[in-house]
Order: sequence, then C-alpha cells, then structure tokens
Amino acid sequence: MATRGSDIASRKRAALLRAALVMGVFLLYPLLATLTPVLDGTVAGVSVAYVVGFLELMFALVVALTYAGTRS
Amino acid sequence: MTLPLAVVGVLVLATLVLTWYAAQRNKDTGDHYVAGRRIGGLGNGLALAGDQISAASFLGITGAIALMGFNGFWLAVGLPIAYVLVLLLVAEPLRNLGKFTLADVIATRFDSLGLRASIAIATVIMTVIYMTVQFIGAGLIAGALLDVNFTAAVLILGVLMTLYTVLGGMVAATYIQIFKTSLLAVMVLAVFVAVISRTGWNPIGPMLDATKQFGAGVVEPDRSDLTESVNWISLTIGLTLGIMGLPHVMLRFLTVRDARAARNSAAVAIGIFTVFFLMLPIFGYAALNEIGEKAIVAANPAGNSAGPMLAQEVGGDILYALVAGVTIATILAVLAGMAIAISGAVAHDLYTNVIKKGHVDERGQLVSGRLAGAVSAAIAIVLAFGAKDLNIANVANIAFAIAASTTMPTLLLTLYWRRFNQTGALFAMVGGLIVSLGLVLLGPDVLGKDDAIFPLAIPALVSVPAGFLLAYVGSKIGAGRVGSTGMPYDEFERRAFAPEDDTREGGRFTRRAEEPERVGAV
Repeated sequence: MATRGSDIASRKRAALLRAALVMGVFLLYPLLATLTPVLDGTVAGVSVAYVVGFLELMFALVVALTYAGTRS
Repeated sequence: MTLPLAVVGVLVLATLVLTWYAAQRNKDTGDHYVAGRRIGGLGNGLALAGDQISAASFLGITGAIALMGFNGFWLAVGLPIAYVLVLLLVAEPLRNLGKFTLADVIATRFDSLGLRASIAIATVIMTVIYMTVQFIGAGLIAGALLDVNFTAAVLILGVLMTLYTVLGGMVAATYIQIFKTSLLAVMVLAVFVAVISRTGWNPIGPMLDATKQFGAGVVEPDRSDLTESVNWISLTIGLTLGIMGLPHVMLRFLTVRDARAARNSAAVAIGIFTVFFLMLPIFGYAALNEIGEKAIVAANPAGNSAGPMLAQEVGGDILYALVAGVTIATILAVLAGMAIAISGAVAHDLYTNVIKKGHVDERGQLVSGRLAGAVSAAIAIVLAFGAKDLNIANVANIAFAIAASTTMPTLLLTLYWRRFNQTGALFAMVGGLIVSLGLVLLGPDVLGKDDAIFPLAIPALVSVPAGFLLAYVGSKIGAGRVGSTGMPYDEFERRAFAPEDDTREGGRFTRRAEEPERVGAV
C-alpha cells in the first residue's frame, strides 16, 4: 500500500524536529565554551570542555546509529 | 627524505593501479559522475569520511591544539554533528531524487535554466576555492615533509589528479578515497599506540601531562577576545550547516545503490569521525609535551608540522614516512572528488542542460565532463600559485560559509517547504552568494583587522540567516507567478521521501541501480 501524504508529512516533521534538537544541543557547546566560564576547569586533570565534547560525539554517534538502525 | 619519498611513490603507484582498474568500469556519464550508482553503504561511508578527513583536519587541528590549546576542538565535534543533520534531513531524498549533480536534485522540483545555472556557478566557485586551498596545502606539505619545492609539488599533484578524474571518473575517486581512508585509519592508530606507549598506556595521558606541565589554561577554552569568540561561533555554524551544501560531499549520496545504503554510509562516516576526532586533542597535547611550542612554530608558524613531528618523535623514520605518504594520498583523493563535482556542474549542468538544452549525445557528455575536470584542475593550480601566501584555513572556511548560505537553504527548503518556489530558490542562491562573498570582501581577511567594515572573518552567523530570509522573501514575491511553483509538491514529496511505494506499484519514480554489481562495496 502506498505511503499516504500524512505519513510522509509526519516523517518529515520528525526529521526536522530531530535535526533541530541535535543542532540546538550541539550549538550550546561552542556558545557555553566561548562566551561563558561554565565549561572552564578540569576534573582529575581532564578539561570539562573536553569531557562535554566527548559526550557530544557520543550523542552524535548514538543518534546516527539509532536512526540508521530503525529505518533499515 | 628517501624513505618518505619511497612511501609516497608506492602509494601513488597504488592509486594509479586503482585508477587503471576503475577506468575499465568508467564507460558512460553515469559511471563518470556517480560511479554507476552502485556503491555500497560501507564503501560510501569510507569515501564520505575520506572526503571530510582532509590533510587540513589531521595537520591543522593537531597543530592548532598544540599551539592554541583547546579552542577549535568544537570544530572537530561539529563535523560528526553536520553528518547527523545530513543523515536526518537530506541523505535519502538526495539518493531518491538525484541524477548526476546537486542541481539535478533541485531541478526535479524547479526545472529552471536560470536556477540550474546559478547552482552550477555557485558549485564552481565553492569547489574551486576549496580545490585551490587543497593545492596550496599540498604544495606546502610536500615542501615540509618531502623537501620538494612548491611549484613542482603542485604541478605533479595536479597531473595525477587530472589522470584520476579523466580516466577513472567517480569510480576511481571512490576507490582511491576508500583506499586512503583505510590507510589513514592505520596511520592514526599507529601514531595513537606510539603516543600512549609513552604515557603508561593511558589514552588521556598527554592531556594530563600538559595540564601538569603548562597549567589548566592549555586544556580550557580561551575567551580573551570577544570578536574572536563570536567568529568561532560563526565558523562552527558555517561548518556544521555548510556540509549540507557542499556539492562534492553531497554528490556521494548520489553514488549509492539505494536509500538504505545512503543512510548506512552516513552512519559509517559518523562512526569514523567520532574515533578520529577524539584522537586529535591527544595528538595535539602529545606534540606540545614531546616537541614543545618553540620547535613546532619554528618548523611551521601555523603548527601544520606538529603531527608529522610527533610521528617522527614517537615512531621514528618509519612512522614519519607513513604520515607523509598518507597525507599526500589524502590530498590527492580529496582533489579527485572535487574535480568530479566541478566537471558535473560545468559539463552536465551548464554545457549540456543550460547551453545545449539537453541536446548532447552520450559521448559528447562524457568528453565534456572529462575536459571540464582537466580545465578546472588547471584553473585551481594557477590560482594556487597566486594565492599561496593566504591563510588557507580561513579560505577553506569561507567555502563552507558560502555553501551554508546558498545551496544549503535552497536544498533544504526545496525538500521540506511546500510554499517554496523558483523565485525563492533564485533569491537564496544569488542573494546568499552576494551576501556571503560581500561580507568576506568587507571582512578582516581582505581589508585587515583594523580597517574591516564587517568584523568577522567567517560570515556564516549573518549570511546563513540572510540566505533563509532571502528564500522566504523571494517565495512571497514569486507566489502566484505562473510556473514558479514547479512540480506539484505532493508528487515531488513522494518521489523524495517514499519512492519505494512507486516501486511496489510499478510507478515511474522507481530509481534502482540498473546493475547489481557493487562497486566499492565491502
């Protein structure tokens, strides 16, 4: 059975919302790092900013693998 | 220099063998521009990662962290994020709609010669800028790593790139890119193992040592200059969104055999980026600890030699030779992909579709495509000789900002906005190009920091919203104009997002690879 227009519309909406969420979460990183002292300091010698960057990379990987997995 | 030269020679020979092999499979325009649309998900993922992990990423980011500390790391984080956006928003529709170029995708909805011409011209501008930067980088790196002079290095690499493009087309560019990414992974792993063998096998040992030796300042963000901080944000936005508009990168999604392979290839590329970019700060801090700032700056003021010097320090001549060889192979592979993007824009979009209105036979299209690839290489080489003293990192980032302000909003709105129309697309393309280039010309890179009218070197913070605003204004102006709406959106949407239904129903939108052979699929 053909995909209905409303199904395509909801698929598009979900893609846009996910993309906006990913971009929003990511942009917080350079904004906080360049304009505020929130990411200053170290935890056991490792920069807080590096830890947050690591978490962002993991976030990107999980979103990508989850999306590719569920759509396959 | 004998061992590095020998390694470079062997790797170049290997790429020529791959090109010869690919040339047997490069028979028509479909093979030349999009590798016959037969690439598998893993193969294309490796090629995509290879397109993005250039010599500038390895040498530039490692050097920047060694000299400037943490600032710039979020650029490394931005690349995987950019590909998540590509995966979520454009990977599948590109595969479902595309033929040979980015303009083909947009022309599916708006079949306008003016729009196709403007996309082709923007493609040429962005790609020539990027290509020129690669040639300059190649010349400088070959000089530093192999002691070969700039002119000779650029000419030799230009000839090699032309051979790959003319003989093997996208098939060769893909094989070489897969080969290079695999080599790069081996090289990065070898450097990583050698580095952490000196820190008691602690992967973050170099960062801990840097904190102990130089204080916490070297691992924390630097906010001493507000304009510079805002420029970093602008650069991050340009890079993250610009990927979606870079023709030589988006072209990769036209080479896969189906939408599933498009998705998988983006996921593979993101996985590779994640591992690669996590290692760069380790290399940067290791270079700072092992070699020292003075020695790095003495070798190259921008820090580009930090990576190779680190390899020499921790792995001796063999690891240095491997880094030199892989770096040169990296540049060649990236250049070949760009030459294909330009040849598609010039030969397929401008010559075949705009000038000849589609009346060019198969042989004529193939010959013009090959000729365009060779001519574009010659132009980029000439530009590289004239622009070799420019800050190449900034010039490359300008290409990202232009892509983020022109092709990205046009592509995204074409796919997702029902009320978008041809006038809006033209406003976004032409207006976005004028705004982004204009702001660069008024900025500090051209007028100098003190005389700049626009304070940011990278204009994306302003030019990206301007691109979207122009698209909106153009769409309002064009609303109701005869022919401006293009193909009915419902039909376009089905072709872009659910072509499998048309396949099942025997519909005319079926786009399957004609041959089952998997080129480059692993």
